[in-house]
This record gives sequence, structure tokens and C-alpha cells, in this order.
Amino acid sequence: MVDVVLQLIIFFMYTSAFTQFVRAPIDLPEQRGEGGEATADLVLDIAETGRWLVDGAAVTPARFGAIAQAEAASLGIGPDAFSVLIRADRNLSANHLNAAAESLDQLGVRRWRLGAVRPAGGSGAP
Amino acid sequence: MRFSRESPSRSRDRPVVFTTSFIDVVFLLLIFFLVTATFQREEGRLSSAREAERASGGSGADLVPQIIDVRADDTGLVFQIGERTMRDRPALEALLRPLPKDPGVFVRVYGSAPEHAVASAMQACRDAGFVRISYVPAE
Repeated sequence: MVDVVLQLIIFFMYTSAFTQFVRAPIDLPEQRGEGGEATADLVLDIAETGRWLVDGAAVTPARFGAIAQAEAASLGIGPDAFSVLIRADRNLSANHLNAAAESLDQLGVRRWRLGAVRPAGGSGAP
Repeated sequence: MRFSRESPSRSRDRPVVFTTSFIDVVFLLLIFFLVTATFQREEGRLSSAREAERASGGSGADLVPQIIDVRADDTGLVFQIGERTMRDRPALEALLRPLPKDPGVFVRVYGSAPEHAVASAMQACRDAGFVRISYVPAE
């Protein structure tokens, strides 16, 4: 019995995504996405209020830019290859999303991804 | 009669580890992982290549850009391509399907739109077969 329980624990530890715990609880839109894991070199969370968060800490756009540049430098890659995942609240005004897109544009980041949560069933919200 | 090979003095010297509470810890860990695995929803991603079309030229740039305007009004979400206006994602996807895929598509987002409308438009593009999806903030 204990052996089985230990095997289960090992299974759940192996399959759990611990990176999810550091992400802020954001009400993401329900969409299927394009498959694959929602990972990136840097994750920017945008709350419904428009506040930007990196690793759960509030940041200004300027501070976010500095973090992104430092992260890209530590990875040894340029902004072209640097990937950013934006996890924005589903009810967030697009003004904030546009501001984030402009900020990434100024940093030279060409490709970024919008986070979504896969629906339990169906094809997602209309 | 001696049943043990070790002398009583040696067995007394051996450190004893109490494993009675071990099963409690194991069960608590199991419950923790079961609960966190159950309530954690898998996240997906929707790509956007903001600057892909601006950086690359060629034949794609010679075609008429396909632009989806995403905004919201008093009645709800609005997806507009040229003169055609759609109110939901399936209608948008149906309109996008026959369009040529090579030039890609621009998703122009107005500030009035909520984020889930942007995600819906990008998902419709993806489901319609577009690979190059560019996000364009509306002025």
C-alpha cells in the first residue's frame, strides 16, 4: 500500500508544473490556443486593473523593459529570439494590452504570446 | 534458546527510527498533489508576430492586407473585416476560412475591446488556418 502511495506521489510530483505556482492568479480567456505549453523566457501578468506583474511583483513598464533586457542578456539571446508570454485578465481593457504591445515593440521583441486557459469542453468563448 | 544472532547489547546500541508517522506524511503529500493537480487548469497560448510583416517584404507585402478590427460597442463585441461585421467567433472564423493565408492577417485592436475579444479573434485566425497573425494596436 505504501509503495503504491509513494509511486502516486512521485507521479504527481513529476507531472506537476511548479512554475504555475509563481504566476499570479489571472482570469485568463478560455481558448484552445495553439497547443504546447504556455512557457516563455519572460511572463508578464496584467491584472484587470491594468497593473503589470512579473513573478507576482508589480512593475512599471520601464522596470519591465529593464527586466526583459537583463533576462535576454542572461540567456545570451537577442530581442528577436526572446519570447514573452502575456497573461492578461480576460476583462482587461485592450488599452493596457496595446500599451504592452508597444512596450515590447520598443524593446525589439517581435514575437509574443497571449495566454489563455483551455476550456474544460467545447471550443472556447465566442 | 537464542532467536537473534545479535547480542542484546548490540541491538540496544542500534539507533531506532520511528516510522509510525511516516504514512501520515505520505498521505498528506498525496492529498496535496491530488488537490493541486485537480484544480490546476492547463494554459494554452496564442501567438502574435507583431513585426513580422514590417520586417519582411516581398510578394506578401504586395497583397492587400487583411485586417480584422476588434472593438466593442453598446451591443457587444464587434469583429469587422472591410464592410462585413461579425458578432461572434464562429462567424468570424467562417469568413476567414476562404481568405488566402500567405499574406497573413492583422488583428487591429481598439481600446474599447476587452482582452477576451482579442483572444477570440486570434483563435479564429488560428482555427481558420492562418499562421502569420500580427497584432496591431489601433491609434
